Amino acid sequence: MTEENGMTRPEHVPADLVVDFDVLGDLGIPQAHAEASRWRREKGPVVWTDRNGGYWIVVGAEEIRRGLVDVSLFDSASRGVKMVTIEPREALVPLELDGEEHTTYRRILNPFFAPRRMRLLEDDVRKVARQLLAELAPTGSCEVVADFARPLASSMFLSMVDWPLEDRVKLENWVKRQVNGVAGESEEANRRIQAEALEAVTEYCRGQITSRRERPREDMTSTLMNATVDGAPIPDERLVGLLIVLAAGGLDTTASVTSQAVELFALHPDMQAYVREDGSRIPAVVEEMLRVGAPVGPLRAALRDTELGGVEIKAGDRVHFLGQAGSRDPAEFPDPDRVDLQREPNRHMAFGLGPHRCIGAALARVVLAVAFDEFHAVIPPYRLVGSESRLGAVWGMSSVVVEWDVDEVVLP
Amino acid sequence: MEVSIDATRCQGHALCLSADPAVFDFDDEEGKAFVARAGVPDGSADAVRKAAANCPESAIAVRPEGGRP
Repeated sequence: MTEENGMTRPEHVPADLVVDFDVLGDLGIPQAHAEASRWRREKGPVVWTDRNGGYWIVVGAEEIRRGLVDVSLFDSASRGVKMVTIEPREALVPLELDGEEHTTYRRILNPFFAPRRMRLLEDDVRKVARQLLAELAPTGSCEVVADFARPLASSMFLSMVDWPLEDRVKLENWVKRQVNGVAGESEEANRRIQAEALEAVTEYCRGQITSRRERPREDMTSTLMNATVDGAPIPDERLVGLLIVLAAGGLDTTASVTSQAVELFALHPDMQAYVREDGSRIPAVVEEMLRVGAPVGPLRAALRDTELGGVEIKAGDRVHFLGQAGSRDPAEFPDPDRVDLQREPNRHMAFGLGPHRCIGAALARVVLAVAFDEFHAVIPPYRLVGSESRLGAVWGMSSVVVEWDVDEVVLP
Repeated sequence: MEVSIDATRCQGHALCLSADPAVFDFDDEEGKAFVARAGVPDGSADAVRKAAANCPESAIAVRPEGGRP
């Protein structure tokens, strides 16, 4: 190990592969993509950052595919494979489980997220979207994240688990702090912020479980409480870990892609018109926005010494598979920074790959399709007033303000 | 044209199910897609080729009738 400015770096890390990348710093999404492209061009598909405890960053599409699919190389279970080093704690389920135990929990969850079942939710999503937009349209402007993207994604999640809708903002804030910390705060401060937020979410989930124990209901939370693993009920700490993962996935990620899309479309009236003209175009638009707006890249730890993209990785090394960047690797995606709303094929990595791929993918696709469809059905041509993005464990928009001419609004 | 899904690779992204629900089906418990009919009707050939090209896990194989993958 070499130590410099309090940062540690294993000796097998070649100095010329080191980049300065602080995922909890004040870099925005476009800058992060520019950096990742430069690393790939100048250094190759695998680089190292000393920040946040030190870890490899994989930006090559082929290398990401290999690392996420071959579970003999990298595991998800190692505690502390996070942006910041955290105290030992219970596993988040099934995110931080591997092998049989992981498969067992996925089997319990799978039916809830089955693709055809998600499509049945379309009408519900549409109803929520229309309610939100009916209020926004006459005002002539909105902040997309707080006014539309978050409430839409969160409402769907809350109705699935049947938690009170009035807890939405409280939960969103906890999850945001738990997952991303606060950009610009020190590593030390973020460790505390994330731990406190995790504790608050944990308490909340415990409360939901306790209230159902007293009065069982017919919702997803109750069903999970009644599910068994190897003949025994799911232990409470596992149940809590599971609900936390579902909340983090449901509250933060889809809203990020929706907000990034509206920001992009606001800058490109031709894209707005394209989406508005023909609803059958939307599925391909959703895929392209997932590609360019992918908010998450999985974190792993190496199970054994291996080689990835010509780089020597040792057992125990932490690895961030930056799918956001992999989905813009020119080796697989021609002209990768150009948004092509008809891109075909489009094997982006927004939902990850391998056994841990996002279980909520089908739900996210339904929410995004409805969000794009309804937003453009109700909101007339809009312009960007201002926007700000941030990184973290889930990349997203801090705010996206758009405006439109009120006299063009025609409510259905 | 025949199509098959490698169940060891499939992780249930379900893009194939969207591409052509007449050819691809989905096991809700296992969270994996499977082929409902290996012989692809003529009208589905393009959709099936597209599903194979877009499968995130490269789990779909297409081959001519009676041929090798």
